[in-house]
Amino acid sequence: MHSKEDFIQQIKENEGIVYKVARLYTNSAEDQKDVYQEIVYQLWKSYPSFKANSKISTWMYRVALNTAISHLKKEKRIGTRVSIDNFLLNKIDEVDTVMEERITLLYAHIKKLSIVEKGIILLHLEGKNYDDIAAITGFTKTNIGTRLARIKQKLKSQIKK
Amino acid sequence: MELEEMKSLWEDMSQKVDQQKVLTDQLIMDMTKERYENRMRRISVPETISALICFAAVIYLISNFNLLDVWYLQLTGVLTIVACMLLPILSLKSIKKMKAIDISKSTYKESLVNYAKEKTKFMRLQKTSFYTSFIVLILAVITFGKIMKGIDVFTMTEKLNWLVPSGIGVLYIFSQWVLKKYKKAADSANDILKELEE
Repeated sequence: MHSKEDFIQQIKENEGIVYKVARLYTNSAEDQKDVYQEIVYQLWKSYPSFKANSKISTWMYRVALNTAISHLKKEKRIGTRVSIDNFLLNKIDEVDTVMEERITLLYAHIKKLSIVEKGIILLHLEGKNYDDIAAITGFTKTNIGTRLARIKQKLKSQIKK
Repeated sequence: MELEEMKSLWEDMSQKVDQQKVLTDQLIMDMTKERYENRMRRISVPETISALICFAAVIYLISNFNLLDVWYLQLTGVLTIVACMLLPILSLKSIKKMKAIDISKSTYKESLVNYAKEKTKFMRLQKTSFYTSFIVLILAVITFGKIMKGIDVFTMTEKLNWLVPSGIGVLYIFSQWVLKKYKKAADSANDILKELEE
């Protein structure tokens, strides 16, 4: 179950999660690449302890979000990266410029939220239900409901401005 | 942009991202391998170098301890040795603690609490290391001045007259800057903790 091939397969199937989380928690292309790679590394590191009876996406979101937070702690990083530049950062760009512009705007609105709210709205936009969000975040379902209502209100007034 | 529009745009983006399978087996393994090696390098090189410098300084001080002929110079010598031994040990210990964190076990909430606490702790540590480094620097100048040049700083009153006030001035300016940074970090950490309690 926990072979190298399985891990690669899982990452390939869920690479969108890594991309979306990395983009949400960073403000520069360099940082985005760094977080992207760090998430893949952390997933690889914790893959042996992943329990097959839990959802793979829950585990992936949890590791990705926690890695993004832990990245905030670190000062400027030094080191090398493998060449993942163009395709990761211009994923949508090459396909549709108008769409990329709208997505940039969408990210800009979400990035204005607090760090607590960012994670919750991301999971909501990903189509996760309250049970999943609760499992990933550790908040109660009621609390998530309250927070989401507040976030929606906040976003609404942000968009109106 | 309306909220519903946001959600459908997010879905469109997700679909596009999922369609564009860009990661290859090789790229995934390269990323993990490179990051692993990079991490090992990052931790070992600077830590090893600074620990070696500190331990070399300790050996040098112990072998020349007899040159410190007055009690207060002996005292600064002992304090410098203790600092040079303790600092690398503490730094290695904090790295070990950092490495022990299992990122997959915590929930988002727990990670945020940890982040907020660590942020305050880190700034507190920076504040402490700032003052400690300043003291260690003074102790080292006194001790090495005597051992290497035979100078007893305490007897050079004409130099002390400007050294002490300028030292205090520099310390004051930097401490104000450190305190400002500390307050900012502590405030933002408190905001996160407060929001989590809501």
